[in-house]
Amino acid sequence: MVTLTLLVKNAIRYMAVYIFGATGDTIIEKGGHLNMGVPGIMFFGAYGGILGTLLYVNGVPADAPLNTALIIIISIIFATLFAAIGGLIYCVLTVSLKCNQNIVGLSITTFGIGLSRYLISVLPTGNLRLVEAGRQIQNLFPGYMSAGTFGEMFLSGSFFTYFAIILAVVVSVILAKTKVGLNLRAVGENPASADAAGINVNAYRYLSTIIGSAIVGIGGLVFLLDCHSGSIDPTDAVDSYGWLTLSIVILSAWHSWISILISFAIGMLNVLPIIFTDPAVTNLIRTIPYVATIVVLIVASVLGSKKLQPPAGLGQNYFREDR
Amino acid sequence: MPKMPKINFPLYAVKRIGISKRTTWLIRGGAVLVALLLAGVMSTFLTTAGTPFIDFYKGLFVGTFNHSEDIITLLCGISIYLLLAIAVAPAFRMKFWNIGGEGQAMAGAIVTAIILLKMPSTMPDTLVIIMALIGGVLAGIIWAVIPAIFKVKCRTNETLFTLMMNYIATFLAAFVIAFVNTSHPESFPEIDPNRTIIKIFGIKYIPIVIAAVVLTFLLYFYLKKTKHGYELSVIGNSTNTARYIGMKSSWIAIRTMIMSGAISGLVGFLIVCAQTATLSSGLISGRGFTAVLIAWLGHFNPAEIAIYSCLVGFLDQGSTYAASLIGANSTYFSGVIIGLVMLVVVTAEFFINYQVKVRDKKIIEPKKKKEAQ
Repeated sequence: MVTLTLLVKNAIRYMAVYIFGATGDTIIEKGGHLNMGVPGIMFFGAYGGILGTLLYVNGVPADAPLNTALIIIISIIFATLFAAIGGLIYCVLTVSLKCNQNIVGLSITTFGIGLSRYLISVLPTGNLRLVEAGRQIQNLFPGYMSAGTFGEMFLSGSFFTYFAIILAVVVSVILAKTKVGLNLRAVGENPASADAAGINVNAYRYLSTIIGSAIVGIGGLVFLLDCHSGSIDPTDAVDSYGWLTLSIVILSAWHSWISILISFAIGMLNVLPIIFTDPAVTNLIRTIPYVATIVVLIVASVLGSKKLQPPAGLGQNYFREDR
Repeated sequence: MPKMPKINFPLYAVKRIGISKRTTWLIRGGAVLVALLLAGVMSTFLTTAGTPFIDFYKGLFVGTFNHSEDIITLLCGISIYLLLAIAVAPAFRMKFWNIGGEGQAMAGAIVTAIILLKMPSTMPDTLVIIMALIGGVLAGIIWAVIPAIFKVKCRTNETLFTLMMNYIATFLAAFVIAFVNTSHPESFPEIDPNRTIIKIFGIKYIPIVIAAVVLTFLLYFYLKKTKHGYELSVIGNSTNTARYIGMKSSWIAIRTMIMSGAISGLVGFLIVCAQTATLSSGLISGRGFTAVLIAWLGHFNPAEIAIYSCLVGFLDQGSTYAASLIGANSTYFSGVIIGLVMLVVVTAEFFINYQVKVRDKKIIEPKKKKEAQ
């Protein structure tokens, strides 16, 4: 039982990374962009968030306490800003300059990983205040222990965990129930029809990708600040989490509320090494999300079920004169 | 007809028709120069010491051409990019988006490493190396054919499928390393040097370079001069045409992916057997993805791919050295430079395919009508 509690507690911590990533990516993909730049953009966000937090903790006098709310707000602003720049580059190249989406995405990933790793490597290491900030935001409800096992399992998360869940649900509702969501889905499914119906395809694609990227960036921030308690290291594989979010989007069939459950399951897999200390087994466990994604891809294509399929216009640029 | 939204942006893009080869290469050359200039600017930004701008460029060349060893390392680096890029190019020609070169090479490397390490020492080394070669190539083929079969039979999205296969291969490598070497699960044991092909040629990297040159020529011939290559182009341009003239596009897809997998698997074999003599999960380290970019920039044509491979290989090694010269952290510096150059060069393709025009305020519709008559 103790192990289970520990597993769930850790899964709750890691799951925010995946939810932010998957929610942001769902928005991007619903607009018709297969954004392979997500790993790079997540890294951008991670760096931006850490930079923001550093600026804040350096601005506070050494003996003064840190303000949890300010840490969260400043780090989110910086993370979204940096990640949105990545999304903007992607949009300029794919929407305005009509370059191949896969190629632009992979370039951004190469560039983003390289640049962020480099910039993180030149940040001063072992900043104790940063670690303090990371520790400080880790529990939204400090009294979670008093709620017994349930509290320890589900109320031990940080602000980011619960924010991610709320955001995923809200995004799900917006995509499914509102006019903006309907328009966005139309742009992703069939941009030519959407254009004919008077929807500004380019504007929708720009906005959805930039907003989605910003959300993905928060995922990167959560990974470094919350899951790693602010102890930064350029070898941190933020990008591998970015690739995982691409598969979570597929597993959730492009519904961000389903991605909450899948993120939780993958968060569990992430912390299974607590039980299986054998590194061989650990590495085998790590392949599970990818294998599961492949299985879902195959099942979806065999069934031919439209509900499980990606948006029909995914990965294709829209140029009005091509019609 | 519904009214189109009014666009006031002063510039717009028109598809170019009939651009001369000279202009194309001028645009590309210009893009590379702009990219290098930006890289230089970036390098001065990234280093706080205020190093002179020119040091970056000095470092690029000193790191690659100063010693004969540097040149051989450079050739080897270029060859690996080249091999990985020509491996994916044939499938791209038929619009089969195989981005799994990374995983296919990794699968080849895993099997190669296991065979080289685990075969009994009583067996002759040459036989073991041949077995490893066959095993590595087969592993690459298997890794490539699985997505191809599902693509052909069930129309499963091959981009995402091959992407996932990459990570499975990476973690399988980590699994194999930890499984074989239980005391040090982080590192694969050193392979007996007699079982590598380093010794045959005396110099470490030569087999990789030879393989790259030979395969590039073969593939150029295959794509340009054979019926198989022609079929790929037809399918890539129009699946309906291909079906109309009776091409079996499903078999062609599988056949092409077998070839892709075989070359990628060979890269895995070569890296283990002629370069590192060990296995690590970061063996390919993203070069499979960079190779996809190279293949796309080279229009899936082995000759152009070779040019871009030279550029990327040069930048990779040169910028790593330049980083040490200008006091930057050299581990991550080449990634920044390659990514930046790639982004700029990708942008240049827009100016080749499209023309930017200034929006004319005068309406030219009456003229058009006259032309139509």
